[in-house]
Amino acid sequence: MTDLDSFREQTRAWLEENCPQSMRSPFRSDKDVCWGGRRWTFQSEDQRLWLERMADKGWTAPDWPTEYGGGGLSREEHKILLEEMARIQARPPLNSFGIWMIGPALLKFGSEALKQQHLPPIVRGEIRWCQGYSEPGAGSDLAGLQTRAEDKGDHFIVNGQKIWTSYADKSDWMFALVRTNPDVKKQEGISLVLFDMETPGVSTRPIKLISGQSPFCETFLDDVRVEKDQVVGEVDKGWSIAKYLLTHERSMIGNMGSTAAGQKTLPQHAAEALGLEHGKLADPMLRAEIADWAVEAQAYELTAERVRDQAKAGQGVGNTSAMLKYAGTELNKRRHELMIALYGSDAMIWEGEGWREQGLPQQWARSKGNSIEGGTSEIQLNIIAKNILGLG
Amino acid sequence: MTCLNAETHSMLDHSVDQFTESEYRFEQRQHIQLQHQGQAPKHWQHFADMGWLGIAFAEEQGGLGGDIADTLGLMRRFGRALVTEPYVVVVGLAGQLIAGGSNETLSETLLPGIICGERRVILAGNEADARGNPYCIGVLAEADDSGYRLSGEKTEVLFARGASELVVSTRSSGSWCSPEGIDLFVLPLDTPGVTVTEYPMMDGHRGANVSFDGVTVDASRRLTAAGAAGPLLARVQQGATLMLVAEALGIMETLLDKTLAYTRARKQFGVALAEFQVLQHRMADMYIELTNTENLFRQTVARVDTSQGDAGARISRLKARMGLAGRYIGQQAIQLHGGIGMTDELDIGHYFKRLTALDILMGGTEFHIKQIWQQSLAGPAAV
Amino acid sequence: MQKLVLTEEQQMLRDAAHSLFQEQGPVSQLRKLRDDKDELGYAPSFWSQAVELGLAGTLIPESHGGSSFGHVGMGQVMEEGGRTLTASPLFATGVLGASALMLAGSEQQQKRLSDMTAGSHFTALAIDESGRHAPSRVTTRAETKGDGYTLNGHKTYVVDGHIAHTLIVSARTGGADRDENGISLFLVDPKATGVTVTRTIMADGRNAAMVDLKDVAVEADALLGKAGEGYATLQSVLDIGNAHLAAELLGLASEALDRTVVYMQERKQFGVRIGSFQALQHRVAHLWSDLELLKSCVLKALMALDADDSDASALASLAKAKASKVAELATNEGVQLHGGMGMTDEYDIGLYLKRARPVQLLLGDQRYHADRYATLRGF
Repeated sequence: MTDLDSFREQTRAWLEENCPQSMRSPFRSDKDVCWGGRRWTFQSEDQRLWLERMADKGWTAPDWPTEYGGGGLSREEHKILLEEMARIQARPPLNSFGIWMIGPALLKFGSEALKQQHLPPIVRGEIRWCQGYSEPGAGSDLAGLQTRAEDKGDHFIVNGQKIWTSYADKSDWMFALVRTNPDVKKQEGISLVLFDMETPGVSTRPIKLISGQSPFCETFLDDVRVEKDQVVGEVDKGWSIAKYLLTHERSMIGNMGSTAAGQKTLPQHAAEALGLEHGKLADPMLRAEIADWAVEAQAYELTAERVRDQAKAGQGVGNTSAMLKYAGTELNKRRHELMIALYGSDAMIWEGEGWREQGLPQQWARSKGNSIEGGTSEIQLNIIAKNILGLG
Repeated sequence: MTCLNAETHSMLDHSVDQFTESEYRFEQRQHIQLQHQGQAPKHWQHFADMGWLGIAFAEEQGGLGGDIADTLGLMRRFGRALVTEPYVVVVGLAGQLIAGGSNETLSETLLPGIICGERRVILAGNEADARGNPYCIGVLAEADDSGYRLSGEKTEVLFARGASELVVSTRSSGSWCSPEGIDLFVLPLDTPGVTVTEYPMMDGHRGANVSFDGVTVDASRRLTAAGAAGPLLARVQQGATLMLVAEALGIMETLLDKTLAYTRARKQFGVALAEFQVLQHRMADMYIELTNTENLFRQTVARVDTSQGDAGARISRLKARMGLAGRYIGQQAIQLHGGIGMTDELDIGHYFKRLTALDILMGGTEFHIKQIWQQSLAGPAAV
Repeated sequence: MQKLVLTEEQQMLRDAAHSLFQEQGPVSQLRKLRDDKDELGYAPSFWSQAVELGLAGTLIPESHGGSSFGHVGMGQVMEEGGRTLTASPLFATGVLGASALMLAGSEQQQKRLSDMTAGSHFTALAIDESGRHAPSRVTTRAETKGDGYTLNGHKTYVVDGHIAHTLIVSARTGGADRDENGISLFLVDPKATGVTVTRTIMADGRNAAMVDLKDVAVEADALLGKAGEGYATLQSVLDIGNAHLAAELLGLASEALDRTVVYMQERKQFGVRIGSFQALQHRVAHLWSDLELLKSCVLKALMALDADDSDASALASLAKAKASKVAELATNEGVQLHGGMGMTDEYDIGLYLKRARPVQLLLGDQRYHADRYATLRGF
């Protein structure tokens, strides 16, 4: 038996013993997700135990180095862990922008001190992070940001406003892009800084969307003190770190085009809504549109798979994240339009007891944001045109 | 064809503009949504005082002597301001059904109250699987000695709150989607056996499920000869569809104007968004969609006589076109506004949601395209 | 699950095919064949090189001189050939004919395979009878006569019909006009009495023909597979054919995009290169995105065929449907973005437009395959 085989055996045994039964099922709703943080109230003792046990092994961040609390697993071992968790339908113990975003940035660009300070609490789910990038005047043109960090010797004083910060009102720390030098080319005067949301001068306000409540907030920064040692990488060199993280964010949003396991597919919804006649959807016009969508959907899934496979094999083109984000979000929007068409006037019911397909108009309205957030579709096409086709 | 003269139209348009400019700015609309679920008592009274509720009723009945075509200027302005009062439902649907039926006693009793704003009658027509076809009716009207017994359920019934009566489409004979065997009854909302369950709709209007359980109604409450309400229902539906398209045009032209203004003002990468060629072309495409719909609308209004019932194919073409144009214009307006287009605070999203609802109401684009297709198979003369 | 990447050998075959097509079969060759109204419709100079490289035998087993390289390999060849619009018997013989014989041929019938590998025996599939592909719609009849059959009917869009040594014909031995049951496949000698092959010049300048069968007598050994049970074999051949046509369309559309981008980088108007106009940039960027989606579908379909995967039929329809859509868009945009020059015969981009449509329509276009995909997926 190889090392990997014995790792699988051990992992399987450990999961069997340590994953509580109630954690062995997919999330039924957003309420089941664990985000951790100082103000977190666990949904159940099982949720707390599951986080604690996985965090102890560093398996909330399986491929991070062990000296920072991570699992220290190799790529193959990480894959095995995910397979074994999927096998018993174990849900992820922790959702975390710390694990997904600032953590990888710290590992790549952060000082040793910063890594020691921030990574272990991220792994343990003790600190919850939010991202401060966009501003009212800096959306697509993020580099045009104006939140100012004035150098006061051993610290900065930060003034400005951030927008679209997810869960800012529930988070403990923020990683933010600020302007440390207004006199140079805009990309060259930006720094990535970290600060506690409890710092005096930090306030938040939730943003309601056309789809209803959302996790987005506005964040106001009034004379906020940020310590010099909380700069990630070097002063004025934050833009390249931001770009590294943005590519990652793109892939996350693009994946919304896929149907999650256990979810009904669009054709399944159609069969229920329209009925089948001789094995075919009873409405020929909608069938044609859904067939066309289904072709595009599988083409997208296969491409996401191929891009991953090519990356692992060391082949492939860069900037496929732009293409996947563009294609995935447009596909998702079309899916929601077809859902509205399938359910007709029933899809217009905003709230109501006993209605079988809850949340349809909200999800449809929310999907319009997919082609805007994380870089608009127009920006993605700009990127492809410039970086891949060499135009402009 | 419109019946009222140009001066009357001019006055009507002007008075509606005055109303929307002083009483229905976006913040005021949002306030009405929060405080009055979209229906402000003083507004409905104002509509009555201005004579707007009587535009499409005969002078003998206390109206202005116009027809549906004469309400379209008002509807377009309502669209521009996203007015959520039940004008179409009360005046364009229920009111027209009562006025157009053969039951003179009922119309004499009910119409004056409707026109002076005291009485609000709504329509319960839609059902769960009808998918926009007004003939697909499962609510049954079974005749017995004393009259009829109604049973079944209507869905997405609009504006039940504050309504005194409803007109309900029922089936007394024939198969589910047959145009024959349909009866329309008017009855008070508080009739025993009628249950109303309200909910908010995505466009800020309020809908309800209305169920009928052993509801007895007298034959004198029937609007037409027995089983013969199909043609009246179709005719009135066609007229009401024109009203919805007028509203949609008001929304679409507003969205385009606002998008143009926004992209001129909003700067990114040191220039106004309106400088980017792709966005310019996008707005040009929005303009083309709007103009095509506008032209078809004018042509349809000029050729259709809403007092007849034979405009089905023309109206279907217009509704389908409106649905497609609306999807594109609404979608692009959001996209070009970027992140703030997604916020509840800005008006853009509210216009977009209403535009989507207008596509679905009275049959969506796919439904109407199928109607056109079926009619074209019947022969060229039919279209 | 198999990774969606090419192996080193497949990559090498692709590179070799690329050089062959670019050097021995460039677009100018198709032009010349067309302008000269060439008798054969392909260049023997190209074909002999292709045969020497072993391409004709890519799908054929070693017992008959082939390399059994497989569908992914052949797909790379088809794709590279799509880039140069090269006319050759490779598809009709090396893909369709070879597959039909390997799936249903008797030992005697399979003897042809060696000559097919050697490039000296050509086949042509004759199955459609109307403008839109409808493989179960067969009115051509095969009446039993003694031990053999008599064939009567008419076939259209028979690719390589006029150079074929063997026609593979679908005819009805039973059932009504649109039944799947009762369809049989026959190997017919085009020189037999009663067979009339009329060459047609298609929009793409490539080889196709109409075939008329009037009281054509064939022996029992002309039957490919079992009588009345030919539809299953035919569907398998069509799946293979469509996957490879999708590969050709991928190459064609990719080349159309590449040439368009080059043009945009050179052509100036209003004092700037037209490639600097954002609206145009977005259109080609969208096309690039669409081509990436297509690549995945084509590769997956070819791999499924190699693995004899039960999902291969749906994936073949997926690939052909997507390929047809993308090729249509890419060639329309290609002409449009070349402006006036795109409308001239002098510029190659129009040749890509004219080749795309026949290939889209051959063996079923995007509508046909989207419908089939939906049916196979249960809706």
